[in-house]
Amino acid sequence: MRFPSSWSALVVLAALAGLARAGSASFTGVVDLAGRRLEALPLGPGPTVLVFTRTDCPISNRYAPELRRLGERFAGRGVAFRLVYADPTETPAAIREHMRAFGLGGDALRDPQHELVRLAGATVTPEVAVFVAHPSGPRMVYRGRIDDRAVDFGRARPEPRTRDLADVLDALTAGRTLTPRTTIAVGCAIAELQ
Amino acid sequence: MRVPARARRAFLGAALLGSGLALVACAPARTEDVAPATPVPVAERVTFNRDIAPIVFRNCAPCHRPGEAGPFSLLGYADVHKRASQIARVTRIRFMPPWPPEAGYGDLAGPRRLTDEQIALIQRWAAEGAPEGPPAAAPAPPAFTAGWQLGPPDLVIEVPESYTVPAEGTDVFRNFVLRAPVHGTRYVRAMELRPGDKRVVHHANVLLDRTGSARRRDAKDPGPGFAGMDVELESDAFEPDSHFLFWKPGTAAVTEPEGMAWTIDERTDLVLNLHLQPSGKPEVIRPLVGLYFTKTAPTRFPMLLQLEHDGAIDIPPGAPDFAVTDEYTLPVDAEVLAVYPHAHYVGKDVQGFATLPDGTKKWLIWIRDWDFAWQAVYPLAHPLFLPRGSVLHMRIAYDNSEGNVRNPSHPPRRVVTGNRSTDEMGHLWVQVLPRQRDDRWALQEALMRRRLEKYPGDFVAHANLGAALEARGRAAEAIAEYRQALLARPESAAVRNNLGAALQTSGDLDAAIAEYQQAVQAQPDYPNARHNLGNALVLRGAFAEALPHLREAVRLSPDDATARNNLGGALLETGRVVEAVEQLRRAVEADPGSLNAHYNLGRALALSGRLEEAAGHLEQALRIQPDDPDARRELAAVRARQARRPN
Repeated sequence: MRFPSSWSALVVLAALAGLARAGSASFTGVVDLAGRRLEALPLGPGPTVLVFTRTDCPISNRYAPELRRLGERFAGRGVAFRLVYADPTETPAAIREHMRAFGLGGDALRDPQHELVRLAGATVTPEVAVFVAHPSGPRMVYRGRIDDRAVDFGRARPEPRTRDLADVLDALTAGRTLTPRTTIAVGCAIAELQ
Repeated sequence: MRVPARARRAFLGAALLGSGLALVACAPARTEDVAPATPVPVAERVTFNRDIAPIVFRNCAPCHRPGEAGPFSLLGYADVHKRASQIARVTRIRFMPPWPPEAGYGDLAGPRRLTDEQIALIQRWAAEGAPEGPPAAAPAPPAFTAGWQLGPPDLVIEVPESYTVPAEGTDVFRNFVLRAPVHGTRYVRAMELRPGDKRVVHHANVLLDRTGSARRRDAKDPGPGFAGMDVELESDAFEPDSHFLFWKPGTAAVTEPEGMAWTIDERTDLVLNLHLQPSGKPEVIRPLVGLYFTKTAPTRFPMLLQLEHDGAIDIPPGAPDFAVTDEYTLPVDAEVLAVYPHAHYVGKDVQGFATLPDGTKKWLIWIRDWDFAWQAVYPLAHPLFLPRGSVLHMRIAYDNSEGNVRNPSHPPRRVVTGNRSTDEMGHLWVQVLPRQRDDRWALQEALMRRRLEKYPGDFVAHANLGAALEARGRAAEAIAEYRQALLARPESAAVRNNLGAALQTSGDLDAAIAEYQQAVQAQPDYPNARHNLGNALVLRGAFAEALPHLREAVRLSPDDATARNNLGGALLETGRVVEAVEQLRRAVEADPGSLNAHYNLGRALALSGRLEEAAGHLEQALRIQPDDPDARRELAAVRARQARRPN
């Protein structure tokens, strides 16, 4: 993969093949911290946001307060949030401790076989994917960055100019139908499984 | 009575350093020196054990290990393999290891920079699936010294209260004032900082404050420490603290070169200037400073020269390449030891170089993609000798356009100089070592004359130029400079006091007293002015008039032996013998090596009839200064009285 030297104009608007249909998959190894299997996406009638993260990624960690705010803002509007820890070596105990330390409430999923990683096409942490119910089956309407604060490693804006995830959720909770789209997220690479 | 001949002066703006420095280099691992990466034949596979581990252990592991600044460890195949693609990416764009200076522009010590060959190897390894390779080829995992890097410090000072870094928001700049519990002068050969969580404390800078100015500022700011990106301190002695006392995560102790220890005493505050980065959760820090002493007094005296032209920083919104320059001609031979460039978030391109009298250009440093977060002090690998007449140059360019993602203002706005993160600065500090200690006065004079070229009428420049000229024996010129400074800032007690001292030195005691009185009026709690006014009145014989000022000087500086001595002497002259003995005893306790205090105490004791004790202190005075005629005469008189007194 090639990385252009300037990222500022890189909001990719193309709908990717395979992006639209998502929910028909059945998950064999995606579990919550109590070991209960994830059955399907979205989790309820409203949108579900998967937040790919890990315990030791500083870029992810700095988003903890923003994720908390987004959770509070959209919780009453039927949006479900799930943190997704994709590194198989991160134990439920370590994940609980991480969530406690960073004040991340709500539920978390472990994705040791990268089923959600592949489904969403996530490559880094933090990266988010938004799933909604659709008459023809569940579909992913957004995947990418939370906002445009991080531009590259070592290059971050003091304040975001575009709050992509919030914009997507505002539109969905206002009842609008979205054309699926992706953006490029900056963060820690999700390692491929051996 | 006897008082010290020299009045106390103030020096201004002697210590002004930016908001600290960055984690550019971490403590090296105790591994064998590894040869530079050799190209691996295309037919052969690149493996972790043979090719990648030596690079990672040497260049990454010093910070990427538990307790250090790196967010995760890179200490073995499992750690490195799962981040292979990311390591390939961050090394390719040279984000890691962080080393902003351009290779080949300045001879900087300890470059933590991968070679092109090393980067290419890492790319190949990641692309080929990041294989481990045969275990036989694996180097030993790196070993590091745990805890204090130089062993237990001679003195550990802790920040009195812990401080909580908020979970989010812009970077935090916080200053903590620490008092070293020492008695008398100590020489510091090394310092190590343990700042708390190294993933939060991005870098730190230690300034020495010998006047309590930071302490007074701290008292006005709520919470532990005080806020501020850059700190300006007043100094009351021209012993410029010309050491870069900076810390970056993972660094071993900041060790001074041979003969270049710095000094602290009971009046010295260490001001810890921290750059803190929110991590996503509230972080509690409580830094520790470890000091390592030496008995050897410094024999080599460097000086920090500041190149800057902040007054010329007025960057229009949108300007992509706005440059500010400064230059300084060395009036004496000197060696450059280290450089520290400083700008804020709009800074883009930073250059420092010297041109020799024969026209040769010597680069000091060039940073083409300035990043505030990675600023650092850069010692030179070898001292760079510059003959007198060489010119130091600074050129800093700023990008105030929308294209600069670090621009704190969106849309861009006009940027001028200042201490806030939305303001700019442009400094190049150069640590130089002149041939002789007193050469620093010549450096200071030239620095202040250059400052006056940039800022005509500038208060600090006139004040410090006055002090430099006075030190070089040019009292009349010094008096003129102080008067110029007072035109700019008539209420400055420090400069009034200095003017008084210069007038006193040149023999005009009446004019000196008038200036001291104005200084005391401008700032009643300024100990130097009280001290000098009291002394001048003593010299005039106006002991009763002197007393209230000397009492105030002692109240303001209770540990100051000289002030106690002078108060004791004045009490003695006004017949308050009992009180005089008390003050002089405390003067002797505070400074057992003071000739004057022993002499005055001997006299006071003799007057109160305690001849044996009096003789003891006069003998002590003569041990300090064997040929002192006053002490000899007084001792002879005491002995004579003892001989007459019946047993």
